[in-house]
Amino acid sequence: MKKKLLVIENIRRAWLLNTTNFFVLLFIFPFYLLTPRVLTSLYFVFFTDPRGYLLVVENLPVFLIAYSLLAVSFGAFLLFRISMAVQRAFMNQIRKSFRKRGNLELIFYVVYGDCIPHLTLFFVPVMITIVLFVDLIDIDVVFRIGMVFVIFFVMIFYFTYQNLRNISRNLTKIKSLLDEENG
Amino acid sequence: MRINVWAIIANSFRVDGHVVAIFRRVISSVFPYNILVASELQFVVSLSEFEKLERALEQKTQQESGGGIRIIPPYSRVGRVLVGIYEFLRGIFVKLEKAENKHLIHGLLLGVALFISVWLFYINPTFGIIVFVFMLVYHIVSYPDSVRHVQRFFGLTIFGLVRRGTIISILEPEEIESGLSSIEFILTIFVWGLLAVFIPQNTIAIFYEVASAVLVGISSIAYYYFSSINKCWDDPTREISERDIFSYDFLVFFGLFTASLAVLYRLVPLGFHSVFGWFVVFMTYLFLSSVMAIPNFQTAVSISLRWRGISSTSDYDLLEGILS
Repeated sequence: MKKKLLVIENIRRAWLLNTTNFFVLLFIFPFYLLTPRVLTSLYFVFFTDPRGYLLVVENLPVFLIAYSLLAVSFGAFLLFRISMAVQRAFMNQIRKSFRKRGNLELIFYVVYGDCIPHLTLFFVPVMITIVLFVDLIDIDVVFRIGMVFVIFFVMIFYFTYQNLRNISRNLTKIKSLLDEENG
Repeated sequence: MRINVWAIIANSFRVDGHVVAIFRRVISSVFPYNILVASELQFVVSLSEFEKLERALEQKTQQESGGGIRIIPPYSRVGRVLVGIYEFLRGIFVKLEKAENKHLIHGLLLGVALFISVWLFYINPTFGIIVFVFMLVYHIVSYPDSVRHVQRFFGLTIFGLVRRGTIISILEPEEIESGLSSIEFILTIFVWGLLAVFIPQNTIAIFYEVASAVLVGISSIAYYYFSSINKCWDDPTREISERDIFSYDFLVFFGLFTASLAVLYRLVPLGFHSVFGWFVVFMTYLFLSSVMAIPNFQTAVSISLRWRGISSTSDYDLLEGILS
């Protein structure tokens, strides 16, 4: 029973975490827009009256808090509905692919679900934090972007390398288990 | 000295002249447009004279320089280089003529046409639009599959991204091949947009550059994923190791991905660098989720084939037991 639950949990994680990552990145996009630099650049496009611009910039923390409350309340409800719809689509797809391709897709999601939480729970928050932190530092734009690129690409190589190492180790273990079962 | 075929036949079969005369009349009636001229039908030359002719020819050959064999002189250094270039270009054209590379040729030509029309737009907007519309219509008419390629590309990448939150999909080899050709088509069209830095900047050029950078970034990730899972199907028992990330394919498409981000960075307006930072986060997440799926897919193919092999073996043993 525990093994079956683990298999189902891995498949669920593999499917849902990608969808969650994508929509969460969309939801946090306004945080990147509501910064003084961006608002200053948008001034000449959207603000005809300097008083309107000053009103927004001075009350920026209020706008940020309002948006974050909206995201955690209405956004959570919306994400829940999206995940229910995605779950139904996922079950239909698994049923169809099982008829067509056997157990290939199930095995893929079980194995993928083992490694995707590392990407979601560690890499994505670290990337977001680094980008926001680098934006605050008052250095030349070239160095800022260069820092972001270097850190990201080091992390890309690290994650890919780690994943490949885990997979090759686990694969040897899985194959030996299969060989034991089948004599 | 004339060689007489009839004399050879007469001597070979030891027939007399009377019989050969009848034979000659029969042949002349059968072949009205005769192969042999009538005046040459003579019993003049014997077989020994044929041998004399052969000896004379041998003597003549030995008197020739090089014993009658003409040695072709080797190429000079310049000649070798030119021949090498010719063979190289000929090899390229032979490959391009194959049906499986048709989409690459059309993609490259459409990409160059698009690049030229954007540049012409800067010189004369009306002329640029006319050239663009003409080239587009011509390419669609000459290669109608281009519409299907565009549809398949957006279905696999952009709509797949909205539906599943990732580019990853589990596909059969035939589906992968058709997907790969569509991605190659889009990549060969828009890779020229990365060179749009040399075009004088205007609205259309900036729009073209942004669209090219985004599409090249997404298609480079998709191409690496699809080509890697194709290799998984080709060799399901392949041993995966961490050294695979240092393959030539990975480095080339990583380079394209970096180039597209670098082109976008150039175009980011002052103050919007946090927005560009969000875009970098989004694209690297896509890149990583696709790259991490490849060894998992290899594992899944390997294990599912192993299971199929084990169940086939047990079915075979059962069948053998029944039949024996």
